[in-house]
Amino acid sequence: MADASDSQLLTAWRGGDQAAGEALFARHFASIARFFRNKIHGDIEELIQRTFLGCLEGQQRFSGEGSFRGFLFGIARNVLYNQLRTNHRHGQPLDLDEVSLCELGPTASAVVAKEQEEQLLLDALFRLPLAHQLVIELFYWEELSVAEIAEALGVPVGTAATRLRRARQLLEEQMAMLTSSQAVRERIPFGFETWARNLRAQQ
Amino acid sequence: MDPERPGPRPGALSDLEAKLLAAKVGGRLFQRPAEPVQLGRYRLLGRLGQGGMSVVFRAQDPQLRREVAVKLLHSPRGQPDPEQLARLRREAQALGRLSHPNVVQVFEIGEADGQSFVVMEFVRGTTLREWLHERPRALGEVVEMVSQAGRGLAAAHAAGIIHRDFKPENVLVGEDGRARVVDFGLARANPGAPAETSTGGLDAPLTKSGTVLGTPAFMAPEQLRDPGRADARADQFSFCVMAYEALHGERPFEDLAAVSAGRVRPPPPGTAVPAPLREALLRGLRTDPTERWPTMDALLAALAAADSRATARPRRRRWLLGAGAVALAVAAVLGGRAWSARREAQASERQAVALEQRLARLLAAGEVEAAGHVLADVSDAQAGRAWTSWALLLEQAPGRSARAAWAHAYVFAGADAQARREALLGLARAAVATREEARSRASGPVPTRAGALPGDASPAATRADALSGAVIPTPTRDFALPGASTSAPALPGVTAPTPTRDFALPGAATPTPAPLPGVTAPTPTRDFALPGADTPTPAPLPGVTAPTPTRDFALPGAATPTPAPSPASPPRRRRATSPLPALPRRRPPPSPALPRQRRRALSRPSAPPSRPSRGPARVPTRPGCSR
Repeated sequence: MADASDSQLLTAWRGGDQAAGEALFARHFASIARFFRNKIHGDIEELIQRTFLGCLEGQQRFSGEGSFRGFLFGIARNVLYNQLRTNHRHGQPLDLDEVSLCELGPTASAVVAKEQEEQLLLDALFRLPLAHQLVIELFYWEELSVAEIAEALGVPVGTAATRLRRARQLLEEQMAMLTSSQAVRERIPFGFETWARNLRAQQ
Repeated sequence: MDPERPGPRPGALSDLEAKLLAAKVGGRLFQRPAEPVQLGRYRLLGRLGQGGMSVVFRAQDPQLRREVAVKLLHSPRGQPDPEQLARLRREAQALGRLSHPNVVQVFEIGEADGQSFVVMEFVRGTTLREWLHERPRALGEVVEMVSQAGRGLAAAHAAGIIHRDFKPENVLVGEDGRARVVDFGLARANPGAPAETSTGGLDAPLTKSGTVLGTPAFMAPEQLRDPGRADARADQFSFCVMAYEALHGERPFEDLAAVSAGRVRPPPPGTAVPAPLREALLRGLRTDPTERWPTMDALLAALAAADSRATARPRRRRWLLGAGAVALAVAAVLGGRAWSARREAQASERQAVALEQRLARLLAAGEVEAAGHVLADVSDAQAGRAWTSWALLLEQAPGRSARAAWAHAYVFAGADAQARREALLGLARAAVATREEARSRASGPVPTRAGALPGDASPAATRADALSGAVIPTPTRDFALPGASTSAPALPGVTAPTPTRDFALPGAATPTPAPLPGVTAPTPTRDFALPGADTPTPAPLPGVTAPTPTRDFALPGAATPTPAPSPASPPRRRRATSPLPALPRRRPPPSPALPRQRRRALSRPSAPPSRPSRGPARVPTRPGCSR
């Protein structure tokens, strides 16, 4: 079971093999929990559960050719958007791709940072339009490829690549704005790229 | 940025939290019982919240059969940072020395599976930030709540502990309405504290050089420059930022540059915050720590004094204007800002106003008994306010006693400290009225202690610890001759009031007496006195900022001259343009509560002034320790 591929496990689980489901869950639980934890303030158990159940329901096709992670994050994204819409309820319909978690209010984000500098970076991230935040997160932290991101977002690969570029640009702008105060700027000697490179080098 | 520690992934989970979540979700997904997740003898039940370096769980203590909050280091990358571990232990030690109703109680420091954790009182409730956004809050209610938090802070200072990260997220408001200061994670002993209180390793340096701890928006300028310099007055500064934001709906400073420059924003237009209250906070926000209040206690006393003046004034207005203006003014209030609880608040507000009008009609028709039936049908949530309205109506009616109504109002006030106080003051007024009536009938003095106050009769007990007795506001009998009631015998613990002259000519310039520290209720005001009528010179006490004469509640249409600037108040600074682009503030969703309250206070004088709607309040139970 340990060396079975994600898609093999999924097929087995869909065929009723509980153990395969457990194995798949154990493999991807942490990424999915992380994905929701920083976007939803309250209980995320339900959302994680719905995401994994989404694999079985097959409302979104997983042909077995693309990446399972891209597929799984695609479901997670839908679950997230539905939840944010439910939380929002009142007021006008909102374009979740365009709105940032920061704008969605205090219930949305629960970021963790050990240091002030990291907090600033994460704050900047949470000011990005959601579609762009997701791209950055999936690329840098979850290490999805551009193709996998395209699958998760349900867009062509070219669009995903453009969005990643744009997202980086926006993040740099947000960082620059957030660090406008001299006192804080002095504490951030590295730009985002350096920081991200360090992060990736570590992993 | 420290390249060796590139930072967590956003949303990284601690091992225990991941274990707990996986057990729960896995159990549900695969229909198997979730294995319990233990930490020492504590069984984890769920995650409450997390701060920068720690995560807090709700847990069951099987030995004592109680729920507790367990705080442990958030270590998504394996081993917890020893520096942070030391900080966690210091917090526990610091808090272990403290026992105060407004400081979260620490039970023990535990150790299990190589993890150190702190076991604390589990507070069911919300953070102060959430409490403020839950629904519109009356000015007095906000002042009372932040003052509670301030008392917790003062207690910590008295024990030689500096919080260093005080903000609304670090104050929990329990379902019991009690505020508790939490997250002394950055606490260290007060550098100026007596030696015996600064033991326990709290003096060790807590920060790696170059690391800012705390939340910049709430930090004092000296703390921003040098985190090691934070003392009790830096906490006072943070407290004032928090209180200012709670009252004005926005932070006092535009950005961090404004903090260092001491550039406070002008008050938002239409602010309901009375000048003395604002002045008290501005003093705590001075750039130079020595210019701030000497202690938190001094600040709290000034807030209490300023607040009691503010809450007592509008009440008097009700006797000036009839109920007829009410409906009109309610319509004017309806155009408020978008606000989730607005509709609910409005509906209950409309109900309350309609009820008030109905009671007024019944009273006018002499159908007091029918009014009793109406009041009996009011829901518990609305009953306190309904009885208060009724009592106020009775007070206006010649020959009626409001005592029974005030007693009901007291009972139904429940946990609402302000309403309780109002009812007690009403009872005291009723007592004075009864006594004087008796005296005017029988010419001999009959000093019956008619209106013994129920309970401990000391509304001040819930307020600043420093308060010893309450001053009861003027018994307002509209047509009393000036001086008539000066001989009213004092109630126990109650200072007898001076009469007011409600029907003097409007438009008169009137200085307001200086608030005395430690006094809850207003000094008799003479807002509508004749020009030149004996105007008492305000005698500012040492350490008390003299208030700018306020004219907040002048009669509509009365000419309001510009108040002379008080010598002690800082000159209003113009908003200077910073060379640096503004720091995008994490401004909380606008809290329309106060501006709305203000509009109401101005436009509908005859309605209960500063009372929140008593609709069934939904209290989300996100207990959560520390963010």
